[in-house]
Amino acid sequence: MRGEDVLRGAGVEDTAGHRRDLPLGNALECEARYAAALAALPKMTPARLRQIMGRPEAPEVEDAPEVEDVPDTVSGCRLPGPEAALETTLETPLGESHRGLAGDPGAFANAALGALAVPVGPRATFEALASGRHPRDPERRWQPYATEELVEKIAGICERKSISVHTRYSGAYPRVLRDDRGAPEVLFAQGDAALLEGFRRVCVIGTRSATRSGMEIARDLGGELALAGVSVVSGLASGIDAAAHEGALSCEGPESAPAIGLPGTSLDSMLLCTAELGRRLSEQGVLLSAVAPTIPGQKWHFAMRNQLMAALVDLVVVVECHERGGSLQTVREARRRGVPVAAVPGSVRSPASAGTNALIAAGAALVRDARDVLCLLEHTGASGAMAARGGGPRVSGGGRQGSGGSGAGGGRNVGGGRQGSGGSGAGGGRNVGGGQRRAGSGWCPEASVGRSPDDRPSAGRADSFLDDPGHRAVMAVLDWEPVALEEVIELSGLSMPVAALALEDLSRLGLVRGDAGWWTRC
Amino acid sequence: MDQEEDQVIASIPSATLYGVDGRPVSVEVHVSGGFPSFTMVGLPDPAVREARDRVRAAILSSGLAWPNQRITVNLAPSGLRKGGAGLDLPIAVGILAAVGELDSRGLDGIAFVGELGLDGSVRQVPGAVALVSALSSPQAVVPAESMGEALMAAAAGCRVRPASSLAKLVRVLKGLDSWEPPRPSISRASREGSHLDLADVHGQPVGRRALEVAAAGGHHLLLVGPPGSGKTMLAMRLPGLLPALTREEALEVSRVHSVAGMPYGLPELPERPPFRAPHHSSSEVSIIGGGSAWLRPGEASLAHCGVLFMDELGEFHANVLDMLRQPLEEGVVRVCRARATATMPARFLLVAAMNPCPCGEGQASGRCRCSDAARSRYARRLSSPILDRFDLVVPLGRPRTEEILGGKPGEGSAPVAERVAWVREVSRRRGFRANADVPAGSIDACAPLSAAASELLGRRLRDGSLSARGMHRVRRVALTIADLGAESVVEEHHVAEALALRAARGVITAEGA
Repeated sequence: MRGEDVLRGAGVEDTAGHRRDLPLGNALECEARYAAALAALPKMTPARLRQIMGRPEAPEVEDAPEVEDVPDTVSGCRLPGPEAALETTLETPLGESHRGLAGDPGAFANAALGALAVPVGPRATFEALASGRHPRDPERRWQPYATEELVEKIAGICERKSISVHTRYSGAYPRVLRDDRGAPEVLFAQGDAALLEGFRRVCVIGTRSATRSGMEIARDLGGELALAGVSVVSGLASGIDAAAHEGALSCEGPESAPAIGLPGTSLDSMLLCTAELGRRLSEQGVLLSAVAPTIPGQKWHFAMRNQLMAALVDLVVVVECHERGGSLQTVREARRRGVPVAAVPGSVRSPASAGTNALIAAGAALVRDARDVLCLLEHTGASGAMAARGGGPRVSGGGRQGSGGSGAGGGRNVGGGRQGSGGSGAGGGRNVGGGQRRAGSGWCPEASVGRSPDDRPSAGRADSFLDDPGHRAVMAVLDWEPVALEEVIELSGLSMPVAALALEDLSRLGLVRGDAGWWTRC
Repeated sequence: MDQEEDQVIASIPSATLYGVDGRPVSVEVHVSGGFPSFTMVGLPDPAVREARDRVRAAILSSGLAWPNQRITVNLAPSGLRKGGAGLDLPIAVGILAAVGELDSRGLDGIAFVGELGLDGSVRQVPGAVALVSALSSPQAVVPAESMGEALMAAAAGCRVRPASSLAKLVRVLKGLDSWEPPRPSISRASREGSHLDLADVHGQPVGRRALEVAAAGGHHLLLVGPPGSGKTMLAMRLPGLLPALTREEALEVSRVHSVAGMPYGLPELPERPPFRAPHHSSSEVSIIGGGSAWLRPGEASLAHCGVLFMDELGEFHANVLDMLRQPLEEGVVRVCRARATATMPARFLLVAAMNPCPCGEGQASGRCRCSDAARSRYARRLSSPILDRFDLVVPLGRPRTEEILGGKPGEGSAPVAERVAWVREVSRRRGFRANADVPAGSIDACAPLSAAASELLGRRLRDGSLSARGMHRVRRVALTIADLGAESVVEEHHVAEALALRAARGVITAEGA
């Protein structure tokens, strides 16, 4: 059968159930090349890719970037969804029909369920697209782009950058993601993709505009968890994410687990600020992205990354986050999947801890150090979940939610995240999510977190209203915990008179308070 | 023999110690017929009275004859109390001259200072510098071991001769032998702090800056920080930043140390300012000076022209601290006893260190585990008059781990000392020893404030966080900071830094700065 050939070509699971990984840095195998090219098609989204690749259980657009669900990120405006982008930019003579398809996935599906069978395997899919005979692309939208040049180009980039390609049932595609509805069909990895299995995974995330103590906590957490054999997953953003990664990378022990980084961008175009961290991660751990090389960055890529991160881990730990922000998106995604959420408490006066404190108030587990995290992992049935994963890929939707809900059932606080799991039936992810949210009698981070508009100055970023660079440098190192003048000088790199004058000015402005040589924000 | 010839009188010039000064003493020996006896008059203290037995034994063991006659020794002026064993040698020489063993004319213009051993050896005496500088004779004979100190102190035109034993000295005086060459002093210079460089201090930007300002302006410095914050390490490096002693200062320092029996900086004149670090259990007398027999200089005087480091300031007895008020104010210690009054120099730079609270962490850091009562008890240990003497009350934090392990070494002592010397020169040109001595009346002329700076000070005065006296101290420190930056007007950032350098006052007093 042709499909079997294809699978053998992609070379992953042989008859005995042993897994073989795709070669690293070498020439990509045939199927992987086409998978990469499929993901790199313009306007390709995870949901569309899923449809195109003909997953039997993917009848409609699910929880891939949902326009109305993608929350405000830092910019404060709604993210443009992929569908919207398609509508505006793919205007063709057949524009009407496109809009209809994009706006109503059901119509798309109905139109697609035509005479022809959906091809199986990346290569067949790609060839069908190229020839314009793909049943789920009746409008031949991708036909002009699906060329051999694209395949060569993407494969070339992947080989040059040692990026390996993994499809849902091939390669080192993490087993836990195979059950996940929202997981991308194609994953790109840099580093040793074999490291994705065999360790428990905890994501340590938080705000970019973190306080210094928050970054120290993240660094310590990252290091201690790595030493304890827990893979630290984070998003490579500056602030808490970077600190957690650094902590994990700096700890090397016999039992230490590799760090896993999920940049929101494609692996070949990492943001400059995270490039160095990314390089170290790809050498000592793994970098993972659903975005194909050459695809320019989109805001919804980050939402997709957050979703992937939530699906990948056993526990989400938020170290510091503001009342609104990307971390809460990950929390929401984790909650939908029944993944427990924990948060590190902070000063009630610190805006950078407003989000985490609200999470705790709403019932999230409280984390003080790595021991708390390890304890949570033990009590929240992470081992049960691992066992469930070991049972092989589940085809039915919501499989993981079910298994999680029927697991150990321990962890009073954390268990709250699973309350709605009973409602998960055959319905689509979005419906399930909505139901959960409505029925959520337990904790609801959005409700309490979004309590008030952002009226307080946040750490770091909001200080941009200060004109004086000295003032900004001082504010950047000050915290809600007392900091000695020495530390202010050492961390800000200012000279003593400049720092002293800046502190004097800032205290006049009412932004900082000094007590016997120790300084705090106020 | 008639009565006239029977009476022989010899008069030998010498000196005795009075506080840290020497006073000339004339040793008169009268030998006459009569029942053999040895009487000493002229307020000798017990050590001098015991000279009788030492001198007799020394003369006999030197192979000379002891006159079996009536010997009377008078120490003139008779009203001055004489102490110490330094008069042994002049008494012995006087007796030998009186009995004719030595030719009186050959002894003209030679002064003697030294202690005798029973075997006739001449031993070192404390205070050789002070003693020799009190002598006005053209020649002075001193113990060979005290040569270094004596040479340093000898007035121009005074030849200093070493003597190692009485027998040898007699041969020389008789013209049978020549003077021994001066042998190098065996006493070692105490050069504490000379090898300590500021480059060893990693990080600590505030502490380093405070040290530099203290050295440059002569501001008394109190370091407040938790254990392990490097307070002692910093303080030990202060002498290396101070300008070298001038010749006059060096003489004064040598004299004080010599009187205390601790020769300093020999064989040359000391260059490096002394560093004294008394333990916090020290008694009042050991810090201030005094004593019943002879008035010995205390640590405050030994630190003259240098640094007095008081670690754990809060642990010192309260009355010891209060006694420091006079030297801090006047630069001298006046010790009065029933029989004597001595004025000893004590112009030192006081550097003190203490923890912000008994547990050491300090309330402001948020890590303190002390009860309120314990904290306020601790804060009360320093009286506010003492605290007022400190221009700099500097909060120190523990250095960060990165700084300790991998921090880059800081600036070395040499460039800092250069800046310090330059600022000292600037204040000398203004007519003051150091900026800390600028009186309140002339501070406006010396340290004009910029508008922003006076606005900042005014704000602090209005909100009550600064007293009028505190303001003058801040202005002096700001002047030093401006001098370090070679600026003629005190700007806002100078004042801000000066305020930051006394921020720890709030820890120690409830009233704040």
